[in-house]
This record gives sequence, C-alpha cells and structure tokens, in this order.
Amino acid sequence: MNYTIALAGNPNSGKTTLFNELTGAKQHVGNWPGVTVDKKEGIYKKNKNIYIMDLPGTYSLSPYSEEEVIARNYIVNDRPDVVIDIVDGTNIERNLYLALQIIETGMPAVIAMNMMDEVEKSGNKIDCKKLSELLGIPVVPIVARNARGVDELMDAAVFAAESYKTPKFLQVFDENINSAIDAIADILEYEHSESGYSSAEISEYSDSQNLWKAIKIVENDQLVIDTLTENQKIAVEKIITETEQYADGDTEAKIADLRYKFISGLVKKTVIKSKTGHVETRSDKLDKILTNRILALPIFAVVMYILFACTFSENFLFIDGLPSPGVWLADVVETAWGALTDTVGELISGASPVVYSLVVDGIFEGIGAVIGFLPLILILYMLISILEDCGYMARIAFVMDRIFRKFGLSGKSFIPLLMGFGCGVPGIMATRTLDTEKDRTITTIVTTFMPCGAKIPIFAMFVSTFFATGNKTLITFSLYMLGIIVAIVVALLLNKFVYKSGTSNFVMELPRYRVPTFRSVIFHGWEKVKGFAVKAGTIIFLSTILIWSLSNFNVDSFNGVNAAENEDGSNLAEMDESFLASFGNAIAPVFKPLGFGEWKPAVGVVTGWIAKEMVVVTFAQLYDDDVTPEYLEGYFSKYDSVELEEFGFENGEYDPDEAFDIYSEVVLFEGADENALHTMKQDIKTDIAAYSYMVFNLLCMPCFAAVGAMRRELKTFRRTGGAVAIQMLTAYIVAFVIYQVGSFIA
Amino acid sequence: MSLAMVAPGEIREICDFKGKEEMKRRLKDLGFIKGQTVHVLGENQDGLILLVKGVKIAVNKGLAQMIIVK
Repeated sequence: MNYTIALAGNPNSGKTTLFNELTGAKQHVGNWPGVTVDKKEGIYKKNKNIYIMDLPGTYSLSPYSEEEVIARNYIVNDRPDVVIDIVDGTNIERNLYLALQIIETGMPAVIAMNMMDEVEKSGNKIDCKKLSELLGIPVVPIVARNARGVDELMDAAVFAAESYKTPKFLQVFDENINSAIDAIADILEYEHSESGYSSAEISEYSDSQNLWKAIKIVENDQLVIDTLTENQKIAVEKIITETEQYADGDTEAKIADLRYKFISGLVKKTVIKSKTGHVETRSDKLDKILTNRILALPIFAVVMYILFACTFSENFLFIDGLPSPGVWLADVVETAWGALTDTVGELISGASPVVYSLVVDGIFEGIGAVIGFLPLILILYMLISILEDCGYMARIAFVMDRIFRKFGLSGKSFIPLLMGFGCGVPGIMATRTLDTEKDRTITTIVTTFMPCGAKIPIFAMFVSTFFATGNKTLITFSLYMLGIIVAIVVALLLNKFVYKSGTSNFVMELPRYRVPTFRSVIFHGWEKVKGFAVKAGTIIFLSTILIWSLSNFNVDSFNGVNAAENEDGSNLAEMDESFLASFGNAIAPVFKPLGFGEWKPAVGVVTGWIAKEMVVVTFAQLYDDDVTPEYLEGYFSKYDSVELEEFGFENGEYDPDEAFDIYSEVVLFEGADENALHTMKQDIKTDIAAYSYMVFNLLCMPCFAAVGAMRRELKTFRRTGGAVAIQMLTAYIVAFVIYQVGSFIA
Repeated sequence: MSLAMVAPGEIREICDFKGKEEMKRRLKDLGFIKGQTVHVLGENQDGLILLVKGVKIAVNKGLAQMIIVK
C-alpha cells in the first residue's frame, strides 16, 4: 500500500529535522520561524511506499498567512492518509492549539511529542499515554534530532493510515457553540443530499468534512464561507448572529478561549512540572545583552561586518591582499571554469565559426559570469545560516524593527535586503517569511536596489576610468548608500500611495538559542547555491543565447552578404552592425536626458540584464579600439610572470589569445586600469554622466535570474511587470535628477 | 492599562484587545487570549519581549498598546 503522511507543526517545533530524519533528505533546518515556506515531499527511507510531505510551520489552521493556507489546503483538500503533528514538548500548551485544530479536520492524526530530551532535562514529565487517551489519537514521544522514537512514530502513523481511524469529536466547545456547529453541519448535509450523490458517497468523509467546515464557519472563516451557496449563506448568517449573542459578542475569541481552556485541562492531567513560574535561562541572559537597548545595534553592526568581511573582503583580517574565504573560493572556481572553457574551445576549434562563437562566447561566457559568484553566495549563506540556526536572526529582526518600521517595513524585511547585498535572487526568495502581502511585495521590489556582488565590477570599472583622481572609495560608498536610500524612499512611497496603509505591527517568536550543527550549515549553503544555479541557470542560459544571437546576427546574416564578406565564410555580423546595435540605436534617445544617449551604453544596459557584470564585458567588446592587441601587450608588459599568473595567464606567460578575456574580466572587473576604455568618454562625456550610468545600472531591472525569482514570489506576470516598471521608473528618475542637477551645478 | 506601560519583570493578566481583527487573530494563535498571564521579560526603545505560555515572543510597542492588561 502507498501512503502519504503529512508533517504539520508550529514553526521551530522540529518538523524539518524529523523530515530529514525520515527521508534522509538534507533539508535545511533553521532556528528561524518559517524555514519551510513551501511544502516539500520526500520518500520514507525505510519504506519506499510511504511519501512524506513537510508542510510549512503554522500556529493554527486559520487562513491568515500564506503558510497557513498552504498547510490547511493540503490537509483538507489533498487529504493525506495521516497527519503527524509535531509538538514541541517544552512548549506544549501553545503547540497543542494546532493539534486540536488538526483533530477537528477529522483526518487520522498522530502526535509526535518532540524534544523529549529537553523536557526530561528540565525535570518535567509528560504522560503521553494519558494524553493519547484524552485526545483520542496516538501520542508518541520522540527526539527528532537523534531519531529516538522515530520508528515507533512511523509504526503508529502507518497503523493509523491503514485503519483510517478518524479521531472522535472532542468536547472542546460549550453548548452554545456546539449547537451552532450542529445546525450549520445540518445545512451543509442537506445541500449534499440534494446534490444527487448516492448515500454511499456521502460517507463518513463528508460527515467529518462538514463538521470541520461548520466549525470554521462559526469561527467566521471567510475562505470557507465563500464556498457556500447564497441560500446557505443566508441560513448560516442567522445562526452566526444568534451564537454571537451568547458568546459575549465575539464567537471567535470565545472559541479560542475554549480551546485554550481545554488544553490547560489536558496539561494539568498529563504534565508534571518540576518548577512553577519562570526561571531565568541562559537564553534569557543572552537576550539581555543581544537585545539590550544600547548594546544591540553595535553588536549587530560588528556581526554584519564579520559576515561581509568573510564573504567579500580582499584584505581579510586587515591583512593586505589576503582574500576572504568567499573571494578565495570564487577565484578558484573562476580559474577552473576558465580552464574548462579553453579545453572546450580547443575541442571544437574545428567547428564552424557560428557554433564556436555560440558555445564559447555565448554559453560558456554567460554561465561563467554567474559561476564566478556562486562561491560568494555559498559562503554568505553558510554564515547567514549560522545566524539563523543559533537563533540570533530572530533577534536581529526584533532589533531592526524599530528602524524599519519608520520606512513602513517590518524588521523581518531586513533579511532579504541583507541577502540582496550578496545576490538579489535568494534575497527575493527570503521575502516569503514576511507576514503580510504588502511587506512581501514592497520588499521584493526594493531588494534589487541593493548593490549586489555582480554590480561591483561595473562600479570598479567606471570609478577607475572616470574618478581616477578622486576618492574612489567614497564614490563607491556613495553608490551603496544611494541604493539603500532609494530602497527606503521607494518603500515609503509604495506604502503611502499604493497601499495607503499604516505600518503593520511586529510579532515574532524568539526561539531558544542553540548551537548550530555543522551539517545543517553546510547543507543550507549548498541548498541555496543549488536552488540558485538551477532556477537562475535556466533563465540565464536562455537569455544568454538570446542576447548572443542578437549581438552576432543582422539582416545580412540571412541574405549571404556577411558570408561573402567574412574571411571564414560565416554569416556572423560584427557587434556594432548587429541587431543589438540597431536596437541600441533605437532606444538610445531615451537615455539622452540621463547623459548617455548613445547606442553602446544602451546596449550595455540591455546585456546587464543577463548578469550585471556583463555591462563591463560588453563595454570591452564595443569599445574595442581601446583594447587592441598592441594595447593589451603594452598593458601587461608592466607585470612580471608571477603577477601575470595571478591575472590568469598560464605559467605566467603572456598569451595574446587570452589577453582580451583576462583584461575584460579581471582588470576591468577590479577597476585596475585607469586608462581603460577611454574612448567611451566620447559617449559618456562627463563624470556626472558616468555616475548617472552607474546609478541607472544599479537601480534598473535586475538580471533575468532575479526577475525569475520576482515572478515566483509575486505570483503573476502582471504584478511582476508592475514591479519591473517601478524599478525602471525609479532608475530613470534618480539618474535623471542626478545628471540634470549635477550638470547644472558643474 | 496597556501592556506597553508594564515594566520589565512584571506579570500581568490580559483583559482586552483593541485594534484590527487580523492582528487579534494572530495574537490569539500565539496564545494571547483574555485571562492569559503575560510576563514582560525585557524591553528596548520600541519593543517588548514577552513570555506567554512558556514561549518568548517579541512585539513592538504599538502592538503592546493594543493589549489591555490588569
């Protein structure tokens, strides 16, 4: 027999740990409420016929957040064979609130009483057998972290699925509410028998389904009420109004109250507490320091500094030239990819020029651009995962809330924005843990205003060419600040004019501090990189081929003119005569008020959508008068063989065939040549125009990979289009103001 | 009085809620109901750390203002 077992439970109850234990999957386990934002499926490692579904962590089955709706729709509509509700034994009262609601759905259910080791350590006792009798479903004590009791749990779950024993209706509510539930269930029942189903079809299943629906209707659950017919709504309305009178005017509150009362009764009968009252724990002591009104922000700033230094620093631990783990790994990967590209290039050197160009210049270059910063993402996420796992991230959200509230966002928006400094894609993915639709949408839109890792080469090249004599660090820093300020202003404006709402409130569980496990940290980093590589990879791959095609073909490619003119007989066109150039020419006038209304910079903006650092590569290709073989040889002749090897020349020997790639992707990315591409000054005439160009690339539509992530979070193409339009408009306005005002002053 | 005015270290009992339905529901799911005791563990400029049903929960002061305690 095949069975599907769903795992439900409060955030932080150990669901994902149990899921990993059951399936052998390496899902990430965080100490941050809301790790499982989507449902995940796996196969039980000890029985291939059992599917395990990990549902998002929820506090209840009311439909007020996306996670709750996902979890409850799965339980109620997809009907797994059995639901395992994971209850954190150290936190039993609050956790049983969800358990009661799961029992109400009438699904066969089993409670996994997790963290029993911590319960024992605290000296408390939970009588699982007694609790099982009182709830009418099996209660199995487990320790998910070391698999204690997990086999017994699965036996109980499989038995519950086989016997398909629906739990009995518990006497939780009072007479008033019970009679309302019965009356509404009758109305639902009546409709069913009218609908022409045979009585066999209106089985036990629809009975329990109706009972659950009736409870939800009494609870004023809009999603369920919306499924009623007009006649039903009228009948139900009367019952609800009547019930309300006997429930002190608020049935919902009354139901919650009765559920909690029932739970206190259960706890009294089944839990023996060693101590009463609250005893200060180590977590409390840490919180006194880490959330202290004076120390919190300085400590946080230090933690952030360490995080970024480990990921991006070229002078790690303040030692000149020592790369951070992130930078070092990125170098290794880039070198390896370069070698692979060369090997493939040699292998297909006999192929037609079109194939060669597509593979080497199109596919390998495009993917190489992305692969270079995967290691940075890996390191950044491993570090973020340490912060999550240990429980500090929830405190950061709390501490930052005070500041973010002023901009109409919640403290939880901090995490996506922080990730946006590394890469917008995972940043956007992280918006799903936010509470409200408004917070999620606004944060998704402003996350890509952050100067991500891929935008840094753009800044480096322009700053070194245009601001060689100025304070380079200050110029770059001003771009970072500008990204943050624009994000704040756009968030404020969206709040005021689009959502017209006040700020939402902040409420978040602060989990106990825990020591992160090595396994979890490694796998979290790996998962994120894998997810990014797969999702972003497809988009990048397709868009790379598209841009490559546009930049290598023109009309003459298809009428034989190019083939006749080219020495090698291929139909490829020069980039400055390609479709892309025509397109650049067409859109260039739009950028005139921003100070760069020429086709080459316009094309740079477009190729930047593949990956932002492509702007630099494109400039090197388009302003190739500056990068003649003679220029390259002259430039590199300044360096000795050790330095040449560091640049990426094999054995430290200058190789004219390699020189262009190394120049565009190493020298320009790092802004190491102050005379670089000076002919671009014909198109971008002033420093202000150069600054405006950097600003436009910082703020405009992010790369296709990030747009793909936005589409995932915003759900519809219409809303994604709207978000991109806002980003383009913002970029245009800000660059416009900077160029016009700047030129006026200058 | 509102929960926002309670000093750290004190334990109070919830007697009413103000504000939007949506927030009340969220609070309800986290164990904030009438008659429930709340232990204020700590505070900063704009937030409180509370202990409700043995769980630590952080809220901003604006939200705490909507929880009436005695």
